[in-house]
Amino acid sequence: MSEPTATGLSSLDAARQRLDLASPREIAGLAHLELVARGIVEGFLIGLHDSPRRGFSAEFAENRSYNKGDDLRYLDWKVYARTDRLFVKQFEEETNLRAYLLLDVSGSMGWVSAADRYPTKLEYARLLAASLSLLLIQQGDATGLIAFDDTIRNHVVPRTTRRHWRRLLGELTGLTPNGKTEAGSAIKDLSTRLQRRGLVVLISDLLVDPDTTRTALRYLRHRGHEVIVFHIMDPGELDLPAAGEAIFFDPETGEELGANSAALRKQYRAAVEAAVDSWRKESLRAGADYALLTTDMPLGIALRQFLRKRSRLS
Amino acid sequence: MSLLHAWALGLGLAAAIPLILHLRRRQTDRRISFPALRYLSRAEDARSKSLVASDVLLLAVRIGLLIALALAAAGPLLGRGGARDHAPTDVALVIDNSASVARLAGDDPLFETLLLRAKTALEAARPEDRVWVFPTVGPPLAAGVSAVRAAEALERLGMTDGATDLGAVVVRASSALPADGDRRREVQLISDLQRSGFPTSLQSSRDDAAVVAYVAPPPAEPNGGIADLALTGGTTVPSGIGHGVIVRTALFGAVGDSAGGEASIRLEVDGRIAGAARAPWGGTATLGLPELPIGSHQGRVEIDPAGARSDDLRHFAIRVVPPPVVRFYGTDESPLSIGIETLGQAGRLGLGAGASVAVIEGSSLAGAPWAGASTLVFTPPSDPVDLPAFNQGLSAAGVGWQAAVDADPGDLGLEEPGAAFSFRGVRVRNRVRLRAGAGGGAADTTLLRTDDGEPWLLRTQANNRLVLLLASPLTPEATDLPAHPTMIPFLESLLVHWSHLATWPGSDFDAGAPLTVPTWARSVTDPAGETRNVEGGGLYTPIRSGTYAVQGQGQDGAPRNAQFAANVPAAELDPTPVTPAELEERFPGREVFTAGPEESAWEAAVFRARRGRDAAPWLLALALVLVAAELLLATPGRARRSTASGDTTKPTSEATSVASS
Repeated sequence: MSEPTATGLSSLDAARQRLDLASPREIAGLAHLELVARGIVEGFLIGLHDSPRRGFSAEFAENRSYNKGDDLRYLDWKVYARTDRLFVKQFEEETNLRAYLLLDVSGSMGWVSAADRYPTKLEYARLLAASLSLLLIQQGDATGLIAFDDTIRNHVVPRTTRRHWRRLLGELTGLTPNGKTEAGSAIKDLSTRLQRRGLVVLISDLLVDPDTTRTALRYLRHRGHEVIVFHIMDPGELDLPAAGEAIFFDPETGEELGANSAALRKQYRAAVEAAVDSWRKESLRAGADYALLTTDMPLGIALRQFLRKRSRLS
Repeated sequence: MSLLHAWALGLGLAAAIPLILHLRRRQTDRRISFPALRYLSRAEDARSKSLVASDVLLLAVRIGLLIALALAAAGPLLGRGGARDHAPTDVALVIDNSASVARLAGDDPLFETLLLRAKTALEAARPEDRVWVFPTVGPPLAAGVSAVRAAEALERLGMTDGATDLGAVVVRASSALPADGDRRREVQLISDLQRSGFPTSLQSSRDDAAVVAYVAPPPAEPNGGIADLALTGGTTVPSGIGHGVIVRTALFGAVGDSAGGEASIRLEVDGRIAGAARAPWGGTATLGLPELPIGSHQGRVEIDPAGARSDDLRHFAIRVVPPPVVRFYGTDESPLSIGIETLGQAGRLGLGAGASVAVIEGSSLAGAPWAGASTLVFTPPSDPVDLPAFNQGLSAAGVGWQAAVDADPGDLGLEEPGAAFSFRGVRVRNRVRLRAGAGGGAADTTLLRTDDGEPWLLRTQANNRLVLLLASPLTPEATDLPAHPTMIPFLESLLVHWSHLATWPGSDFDAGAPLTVPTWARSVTDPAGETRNVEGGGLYTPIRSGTYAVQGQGQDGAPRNAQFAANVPAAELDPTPVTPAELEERFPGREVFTAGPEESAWEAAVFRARRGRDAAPWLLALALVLVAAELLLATPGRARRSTASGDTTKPTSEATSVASS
């Protein structure tokens, strides 16, 4: 695979090794998602890991005596021909992890409070998804993608190849924010598709129906899946903008609310803190990991959060 | 409350601005996309619990702030203000120095308290005020002067033993204040407000000078005193005749058992105890005077201390003169002759040569035998035929009266002259009509009249002689008098008392009241020994009780002197004050305010035209407080954010903790 040479990369070259700590606004403005994701992951410098369980992957490990009930497909006929004894082949499983990235692409993900300072939540989520998928695939994990709003808009089946990763990048690049959010149904739909236990990474601003979403997360855990929730927030959502008297409206639902931002600032902060705290507690209760990411935070932070989770799975 | 700039209250309309803004604040067209609307909605819900209260509070603070500023700009003056916060005022300070204020109020005489209250009022005066000082007894002490000068004038003021008409003094003081439209007028009456000090009711007045009266502490004990003293023989008595002093006591303010009891009375003449007696309160006692030698004498009657001290004694002056020498010209056996003989034998008269009184019966005028006598007593002839000769004799003597026949006078009685004897039952059957001629008239005195109003006994003067002219001969045919027991007392009065011009003084005087000194007077020496020159026939006011000596010179150049007594007027004995309601009735048509006895109450009452305290500084302070409150209410959490610089209040996350690690 040749290195891309897209415009704008020259400035990136010097900082490539530490893109994981670069400003999200700067790297989101770069043109090539693949190069950026690589820069982030390489900067993050995560090594490969061993599969924790022996299985039936392609790499041979050793032979053992046949026991009644063993699958005859794994009999080593060559050894039998030489020794007249029945042995079955054992393989060292490189990975048995199938990871799904659940990416929220609803209308709210396209919102940014200060376009000159922060990327949109979707741009941030796209970078995060690209970096995570590269990290997973480099470890030999099969990685898939589901983009959803109130329905599943894109579905990419997990694979482990680099070609598959490029396909994922292509899907990610084509995503645009639109529609309402209905995470619960997307997660449930996903759970029906996952035959084997795996890792589910939910990337969303969580401006969703909390009850159905939490129920769906618990359902995933019940099915034995590991779950990480990346809660993406714009800094402008943490603090109410100094807009004075204005009519605030939800771009997804069109709902309106007239308010004085100065008068409500204190209560708004409390409401956000309560919501974040609720998500954190509910996630932990469901056995899921939770991380709040704001779009001004370097992506390395998110990757570290993920790596800790992934290392536990190992 | 009053306002210096009432127009500024219009600024208070600005108080409507916050209300309008409050009502309009949600009417905005500004739309902001904000996906985290659910958090905003929760914040709105959380805030709505306290929103109404805080909004209303903020609204109230803003409205209050604007109103406070508008009120401050209007210059509000609250209450009556301090003692010195008053408009320029002309003040008539009427201070009571009559005898009644000598009573004790605490340890000091009430007068001292009144002086202190007067000084309190003067200390409350402003430099632009003008003060008139009117003692209730005596002339004004100051007119239109500053408070400082008025206070200096008060230093010269002392108590007197006089009485006063407080109402009259207030009217006089009020009228002395100029009617200047730009200045307030006020009479400050500092007195014990003795009810007897308002002997007359005043007419309704349109005088705009308010009367502010001090209410003195009430008397602590009843007041007893000598209400009256009378010398039975008058102030000039002939020697050799016994006289007495009639004393009447009075007690005021006593209740219950204290109303009983008696007063111990002592008589002192020329510094010696001359007698003593006891009399019930309100009763009289008569004490006999000792036989006094010819000359002037002083005496006083005193009781034990009872309330105010000044009215516990009364002074008198008495002059003992030799009895007159009388010579009778007429029929020896006439009743008149017999009466004179009787009085002479009793030592009440002198008889014989060198007579000062010549008594001439109608038919005995020939030859003008009265030469040398200073008093001529004429009786008309019994026969009308002799009347022309009688009239000629009168004319010759210079008498300006003539006798005319009264055809049928009828049976007439005599009007009692108020003397110690009575004419009851004495009838007059014959008389002449006394007609004023040249030289006779209004200046003469009618001593007795018949009950039809005609003069029966006249006193006039002729050629420097005193003339007594009777309208009837003192015969049984003409009148019952010769056979009546009154005959001898009548003759004694006629020849001893009425036979000389009234000797000055005829009685004692009230202290504090002006009196007319004799025409020959040149100076008066008061009881303290201070002598003051006077103009003969002019006025002199004895302000202290006691005996005064008058010195002068007669027409012949010979020195003359007399003495008189001045005493506390009986009206001063009753210390009962008027009530505030009664005081208002005494000054119809005027504003009357009362205050006291505490100094603070008095200080708060004087200078009615106060402008109030300036409330603007307080309102501005209130405005500052409201501004601070508005800042706190309008920017909640501002202080906390400035100190926390934002990051510490962000929601925490594992991500941030990892990044920091």
